[in-house]
Amino acid sequence: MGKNKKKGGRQSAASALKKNGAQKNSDRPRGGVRTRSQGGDVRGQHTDAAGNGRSNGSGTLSGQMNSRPFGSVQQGMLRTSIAPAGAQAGGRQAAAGAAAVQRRESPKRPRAVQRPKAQAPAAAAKAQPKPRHYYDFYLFIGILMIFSMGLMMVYSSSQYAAVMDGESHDYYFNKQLIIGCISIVGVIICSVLSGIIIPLLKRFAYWIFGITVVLSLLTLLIGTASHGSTRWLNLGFISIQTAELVKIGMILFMAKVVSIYGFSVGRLKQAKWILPIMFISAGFIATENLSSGIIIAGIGFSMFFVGNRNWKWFILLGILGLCGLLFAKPLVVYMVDKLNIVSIDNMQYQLKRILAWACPDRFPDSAYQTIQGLYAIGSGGVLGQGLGESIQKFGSLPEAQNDMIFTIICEELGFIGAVAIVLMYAFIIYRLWDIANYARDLFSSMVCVGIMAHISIQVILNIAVVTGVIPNTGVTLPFISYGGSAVLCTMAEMGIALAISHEIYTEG
Amino acid sequence: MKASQNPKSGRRKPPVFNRIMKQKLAAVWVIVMLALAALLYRTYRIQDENNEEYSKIVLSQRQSEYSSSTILYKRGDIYDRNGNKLAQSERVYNLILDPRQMFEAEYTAEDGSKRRYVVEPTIDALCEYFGYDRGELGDMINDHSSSRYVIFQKSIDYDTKQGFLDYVDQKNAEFLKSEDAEVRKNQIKGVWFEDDYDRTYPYGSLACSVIGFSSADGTTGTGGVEQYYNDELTGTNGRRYGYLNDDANLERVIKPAQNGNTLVLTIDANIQSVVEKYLKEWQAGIGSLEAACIVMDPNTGEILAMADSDSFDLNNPRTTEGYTEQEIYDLGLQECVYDYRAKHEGAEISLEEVPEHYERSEIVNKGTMAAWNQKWRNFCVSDAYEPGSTQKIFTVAGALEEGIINENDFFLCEGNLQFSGSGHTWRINCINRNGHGPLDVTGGITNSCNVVMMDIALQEGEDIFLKYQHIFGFGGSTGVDLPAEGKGLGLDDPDIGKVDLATRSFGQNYTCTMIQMAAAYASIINGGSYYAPHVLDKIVDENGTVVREVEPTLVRETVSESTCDFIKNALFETVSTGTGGAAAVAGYHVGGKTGTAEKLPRSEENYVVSFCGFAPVEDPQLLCYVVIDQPDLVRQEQAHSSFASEIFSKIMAECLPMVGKYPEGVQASEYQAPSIALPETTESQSESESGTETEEDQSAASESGASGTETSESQETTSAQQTETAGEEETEISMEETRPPARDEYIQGDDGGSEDGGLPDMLSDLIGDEGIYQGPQGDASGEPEALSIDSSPGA
Repeated sequence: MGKNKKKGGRQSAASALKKNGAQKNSDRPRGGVRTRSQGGDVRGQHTDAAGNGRSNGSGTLSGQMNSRPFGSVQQGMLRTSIAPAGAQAGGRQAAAGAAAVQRRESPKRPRAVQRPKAQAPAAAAKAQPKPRHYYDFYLFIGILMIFSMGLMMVYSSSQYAAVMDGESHDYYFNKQLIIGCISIVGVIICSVLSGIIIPLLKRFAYWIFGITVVLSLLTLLIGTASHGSTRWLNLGFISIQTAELVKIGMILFMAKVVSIYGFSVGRLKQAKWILPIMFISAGFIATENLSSGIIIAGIGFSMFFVGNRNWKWFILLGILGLCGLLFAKPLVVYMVDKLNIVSIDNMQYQLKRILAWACPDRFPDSAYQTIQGLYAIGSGGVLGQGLGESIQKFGSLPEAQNDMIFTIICEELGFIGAVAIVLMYAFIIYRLWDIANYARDLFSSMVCVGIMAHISIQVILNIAVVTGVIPNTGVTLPFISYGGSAVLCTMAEMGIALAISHEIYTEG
Repeated sequence: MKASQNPKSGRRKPPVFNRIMKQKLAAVWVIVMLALAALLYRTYRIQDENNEEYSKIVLSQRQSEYSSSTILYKRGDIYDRNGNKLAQSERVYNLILDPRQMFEAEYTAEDGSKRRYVVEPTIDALCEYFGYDRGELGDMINDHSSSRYVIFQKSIDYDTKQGFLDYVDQKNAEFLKSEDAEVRKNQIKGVWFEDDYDRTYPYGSLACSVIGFSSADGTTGTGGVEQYYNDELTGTNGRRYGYLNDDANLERVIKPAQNGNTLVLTIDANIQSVVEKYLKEWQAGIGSLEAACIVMDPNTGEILAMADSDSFDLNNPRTTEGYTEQEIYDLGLQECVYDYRAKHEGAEISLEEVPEHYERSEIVNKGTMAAWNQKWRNFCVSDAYEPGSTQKIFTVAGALEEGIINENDFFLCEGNLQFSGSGHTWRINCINRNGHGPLDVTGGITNSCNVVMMDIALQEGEDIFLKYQHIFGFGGSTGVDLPAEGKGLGLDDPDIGKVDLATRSFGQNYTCTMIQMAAAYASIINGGSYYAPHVLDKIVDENGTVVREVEPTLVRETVSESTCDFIKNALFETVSTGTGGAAAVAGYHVGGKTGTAEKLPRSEENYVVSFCGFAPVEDPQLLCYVVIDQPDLVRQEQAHSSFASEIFSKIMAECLPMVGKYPEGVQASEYQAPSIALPETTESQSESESGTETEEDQSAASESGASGTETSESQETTSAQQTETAGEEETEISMEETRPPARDEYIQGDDGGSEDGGLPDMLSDLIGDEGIYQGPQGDASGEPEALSIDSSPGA
């Protein structure tokens, strides 16, 4: 194993992607896979782990870890995509149980890509199949689909508002379309250059995080005000919402931290600086933009949870949170009654929202948006009013193309539409989960975990807000809501995720 | 790298994505999926439980205060030059019923029956307050029980609306206090008011052709400045809407409507009403097919008054008042003939065949449209006719300007002029068949001598003649800011023969519009500057800021000042010693030129008589052009140009003081009373009777005790005497009775029988039998939307 490692190390130092792959081929497939993505820095860590195929508790060689899941991947979602590989390997037919056997017994086949029954390990070894870049086309197509769906709904929900703002009816649609097209091109470039981008991200993760935080600090100081709060930083050629960048920064930061320290992040020695960094940066974003702060904290926390050996604290926290959610409303209502709060006009806006959420009938002005959203959802019924038939978008529900777009989806496409949207999200999250499981290294995996957490949190928060489950926080629906920075950043994350998927090697 | 620098942790715990992490990630995934499922369930519950209720709310709040709503703009007002409001938009309210809301309000009474608690009380309240017929209202509500928007009454004023709202509040309060449990439930609901604007014209028919009228919604104007300046008069609707501020609270914002701009016209309501008074008087007396008059300020091209005898009430433009049913039917028949021709590629049907192809209702419909268009048509701008002798000054002016003739040249008039060519010989008569004898140029104008004009024109040649016709704006657009301007016919072809040239020199064989003639005269009177005639003085926005001030647009210089002076002098001579004696105004030096043109077909012996003049000669302030088309005379009687001259004289006598010119020997102070009396009368009239002012009242008011009017009356008698003694032109024309009836007045075939060989009458060739000059019959050929088309008649 030591030999193996060394080889890998050397090759990765040589570093050119193709060359690497070629050498790999001539060498041993798995060695090649391993080395390239890990680069110079991880080399050492893996040296002794290579042999411990099954030792879960202690650190295992990532190669081994990867090898097992790949078996399952093939049986599961990756099946179709690997079909060509399978076809290539078609000559080498194996017994039905081969896959299972391989999973259990072949710790040295890190990324054996086989269809069940299709390929026997021995045969594979003999044929020395070429390792191939895997690419998660499912995710890519899923993103395209949900974004297209979003475009349609942006047009439907914004055309009235656009005309009323004195713009052409497709003003918002066009802007979203342009940003979308740029993003998709970016995603494709990102995927192609995965071999460069992922190591770069890993190397400069701290720097990126630092820069995004500094940018958002700058935003606080010299940002452009819109609707009363300064969330935009004008870079001359483009205005960006820096809080969105911090989300990416946080993902990279936590991924890097976990990839360095492993489970040690849960220990006091590391946690005592990781958690403060996480929560302070989130907290100070929250001063201007509560929802982004919550999401950033949520991303960091989720990644902290995954990169942590501890279960019970988190379970405890989860139970507490659930209880909080269940009892918050009655509690607030009780407080309002008790304190006999009549007017909330002069309160802080977060407080207003909480009170309005708990007692929408008492503070209709603050709860207006939520109530109108509920009307929209409720009036949609199972089948909806039909595409483009929303009534609420005609003025009752201002800025329907932003945070409240889910309500318009419900109104126009009904419960069916809502299910379809949620299923699309579930699919994307599922793909991210899968990529995280089979990613080349821990950093990549953790990045995927972060991205997955980000998408999940935003979707959940957004739908929870519009259905009145939690107070209004102003979270956009990823891929669907209108908004330049948000779309760009979400798409950037998708680009990273797809790049990571591209760094997975399959054997074909 | 840190890991490698930290070999201990690296060695002991190589951080890989291990099983625990995977398990945790799986846990995250499960939690996410559970959360999504829970949220979907929540969505489903919202829809399942509240679908119906929320759907109703959503529908109903479209009209509520929360949703965005439109704020109508106000169409701009129109004022005359003195600040009299000629057109205004007033805010009114439409009563809207929402029967569905009324019917939806029901509850189950104790006996299990459904009881509606809104319908009856609301109907009661409406009937009680507005005095509606109960049965009618009830039927209406029942018929539209599923509708949410029924306009029940329009144009309710603010006080009435507010009163009703108060009444409803009071009634609803009473219901609540009632002892009876059933009554206590009652409510008045489902009635609301919608903002609207009502367009009214306080002076009714005053200056109707100039102002035009607008559609009920205030978006489009028809005719006059309402049409021409529609873009200025209309504004942009505003909006009431909500948006979310940073706290996600709803802010209600009102984006106010951008109201239309106000037009200030150059029209002077006083002069206009004087003009209309005398046109009306004329029509009531001898009368004619059409009589029209333009009063202009010759120094700037501002139109002070413009009227024709086809007036209509702007507040109620769509009536066929003044037409009998038969007349409308006849108009309809004619319309159908044109319609048939248009639809069947030129196929002709006779009037008798029309009923075979068209329903009676359709004929009447077309007839009604035609009748409206006749009324709405602005004769002064749209209709072209042969001007007659008023043209003569331009013939002279052109020749003088080019140095072809000299002011002192003499011409010999022998009563006619003969032309030979293409196998025919034409003799064109002067008005005086016996000849005027030797005449100088001035004499040619004062005596309105055709022979002199023909001689001059022949000397000029057709090129120069046509050049000056174009310089004076004939055959082209004057640039007047009114829709559907006509251009006239017969001046486009540069290749005309001698006979044509000769006849044109005295204003036959081509057509022009009144506005062309008036603008051309104005250029002579002001010393050679041709200004585009205009009715707009300035545009003012709703805050009173002047958006645009119309400066006189100098289109071109026509002729030199010396030529103008000569012509002006000749015009003065014409009135003082020549054919225009009837136009004299006591106390003023007046200049002007008569015109008597024979209409097509010549055999009908119908005439257009006109007079175009100005006063005072020393400092011209007013130019007045009166045209009378086809005076109602039996054939044997001759049309007198004095008809027009007399109207001119009366109008001038009354209007000159209004522009600060008083008769000689009379102090200005003496005139103040009458000159102010008129606007005051009209003002108070319009206020007290809200726009239903009548012309009779006006004229009565202005005549009572006004010294200026007395003067003009006395003037009438003198001018009448003058007509008898000095009206050479007319007497000469009356001699025409002796000539064969089928002949042209001025042009005779050599042997009296050769007119079949083709009269050099371009016009009749050009227009065929539809007639160039569009009298009412000819008018019927126009499409219903003739007013909105800038077409030259007959073109």
